[in-house]
This record gives sequence, structure tokens and C-alpha cells, in this order.
Amino acid sequence: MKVLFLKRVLCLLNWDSVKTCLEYVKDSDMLILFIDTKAGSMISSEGKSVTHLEFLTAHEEGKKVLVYVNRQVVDEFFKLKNKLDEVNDLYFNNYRQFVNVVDTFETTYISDSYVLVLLYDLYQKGYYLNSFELGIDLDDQIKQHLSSIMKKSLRYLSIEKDIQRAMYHFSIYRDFYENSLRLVELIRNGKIVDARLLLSRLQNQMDRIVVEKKSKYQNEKITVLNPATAITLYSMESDEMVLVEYSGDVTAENIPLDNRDSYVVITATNPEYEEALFYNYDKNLFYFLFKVNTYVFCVHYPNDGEIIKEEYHDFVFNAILESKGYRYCFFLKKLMEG
Amino acid sequence: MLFSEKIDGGVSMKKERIVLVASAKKGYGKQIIERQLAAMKKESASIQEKFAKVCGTR
Repeated sequence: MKVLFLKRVLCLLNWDSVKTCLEYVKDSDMLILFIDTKAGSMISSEGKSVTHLEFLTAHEEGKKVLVYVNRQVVDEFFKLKNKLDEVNDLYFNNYRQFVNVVDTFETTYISDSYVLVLLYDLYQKGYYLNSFELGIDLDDQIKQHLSSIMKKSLRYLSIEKDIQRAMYHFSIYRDFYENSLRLVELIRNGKIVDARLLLSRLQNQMDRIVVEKKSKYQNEKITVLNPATAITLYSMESDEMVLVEYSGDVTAENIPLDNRDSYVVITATNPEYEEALFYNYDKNLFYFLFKVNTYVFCVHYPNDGEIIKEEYHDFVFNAILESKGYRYCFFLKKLMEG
Repeated sequence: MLFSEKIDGGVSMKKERIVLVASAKKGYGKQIIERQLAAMKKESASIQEKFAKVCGTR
């Protein structure tokens, strides 16, 4: 663990060394601030001290910050706190004016009024101001703090996988929110506004699918379906399936309804088939079809592996229905059905 | 080139070895989606509970 003790950091007055100091802070896991009666070097262009800039960097980066303040300094700060609140209320949106007014405060122990500005900022951001006495060893106090941080870290480590899982959930919600809006704008009154764009957006969601055989104690990988290479969209008319649009690597045309060899016709005309999956052994390719109103969508999933044995076909179908891509198909169905 | 090779939108299941693998009736897809959603909600609640314990908010 990298801990930055500010007292040990030599910050020279030129800008590059300040930048280096801030880089050190970013690279550290924790910042321990020791604050006495003086504020340290000021950077006039920023209107802040180097220590203050380092604290702000640590705060923005979400680093753990421990603050130790000379007891007499902290006492004086709390005596002046109400006054600081009043000035802050007056100049809450004018930092430089706030600093100028604080500079007029009379202090007995604090030799540099900017210390008050720094402490006020720390206090407002919710940092606990631990006090220390000069000449008294702080080791035990710091060890105690580090020990409590360590305990808390261990508790977080125990839910590391849950945090990753929550992030995964978050990404699913975010993606679904974004992509469903993109689909919504392409459907109006149950009709497709721009079929090519719709198919293209839908195809983008048809990602790789890992097909597994799930037993009570383990999951056995059967195969992987590559992202969909194409989607075709047909509409059932009086005597044929009319090709409305296609997306991806495919050549397609209208299919007469009396062509009983066509999987599109079979799916469209069988009222029992809401979704259907066909497998092309010659191309090692799956056709996943789903119906909405008079439309039939056909998604082409190439199998990335050897020819799938018949006994595993059902697993492929279920894997598709449980995939992210199908969630969008289902959403689209609901959207178009009204 | 065979007709069925050229046309990839679902013409001849005879010229190429194409078989029906599985099909689902209306409502099956909805069942799967609802099952997934319920599992996700359950998992999400369990994660939130663990977070709350660690953060000491309960």
C-alpha cells in the first residue's frame, strides 16, 4: 500500500514539482495530512496551497484521507467556525473573496489564516479532524486507524464478487435502457418505420452465445454460437412471404406460401410456432425465427465448432431464448403487438 | 450454385440438410424472460443486503 505523508513530500514552488506532488497523490492508496499552524506554499494562480491541492486531488480520486491537526489549531478552528460559516454563506460562490475575508480574522495560535480555509474545506467535505499534541507519538493512533481501515477493507473484499455482479447488472440495465429506446423510435403504432435500421440495431444485440448443458452440480459447455451474421424480415401476404428487409451477410427474396420446404413458411403458417429454431447441417448455421403479427424475423447464428449432435439441439434453443439478444426480440414483439 | 445456396432466407430444406430443432408456443418466451427477471431481482436484493451489512447501514 502506498501512503503519502505530506510532511515528507518536498513541494518546490515551480509548477512542475506541484504537478509531480499531485501525481504522487494519485498514485497513493492513502493520504495522511498533518496540519499545524502554517499552510505551506501557496500557488497564487490557483489561489490554494499545495497541501490543499493535494487534499483536493485525493478527495476527487476517492482516496482514503486521514487528517491530523495540532490540538491548539483545531481548538482555534472550532472557536472560529461560526464566523467561518457566516463568511461562507455570504461568499459561497466566490472562493477568492472567502479567502480574503478569512485572511482578516484575528488568530492567536494559527499563524497562517489559510489553515482555516483548508480546515473549513476538510470539515465541509466530511473529514474527521483528529487532533495531535506536539511531541507525543502518533504511531498508536495511526495504527488504530489503519487497523480499522483494514477491517473494513476485508469486509469489502468478502463481497468483491458481488460488487462485480452488481456492476454487471448495472451494465445490463444501462444497455437495455439505451438500446430499447433506439428500438422504440423505429416502431410507430405497431408498424416498423425503418426496417433496415431496425434489423441492423437488432443484429448488433445478437451477441455470441455460450451453449451449456446445465446439470444439478455443474455446467458443461456444448458449443458457442457466433454473433448473428444476418437477420431477414418477412411479411406474410396472401400467397407469399414478402421479403421486407434484411441486414448482414445474406441474400434473400420472396418465398411462395406453397413452398413447404421453407423454414420461414413453416414457421409463419404453423400457429403452434411462436419461436422456432432450424439447423442447417451443411452450413453449420442456426436459423432462429420469431413471429410478430404478420412478420417473421429470421436470425442467422453460425455455430463456432463441430456439427451439433441432435441430443444437444434443445440446449441451443434454450440458450438463445435466455440470451441478451432474445430480450430485445421479446421487447420488439411486445412493442409491435401493442 | 444451387438455388438453396444462393437464397439464404429459408427456401429449400430439401436441397440443404436443414432440420427443425425446436419450437415454442406463445407464452414460452415470456416465461423465460419473467424467470430471468425474477432471478435477477432476487440476486439484486441479496447483493443489496450484503452491501448494507458491509456498509453498516442496517
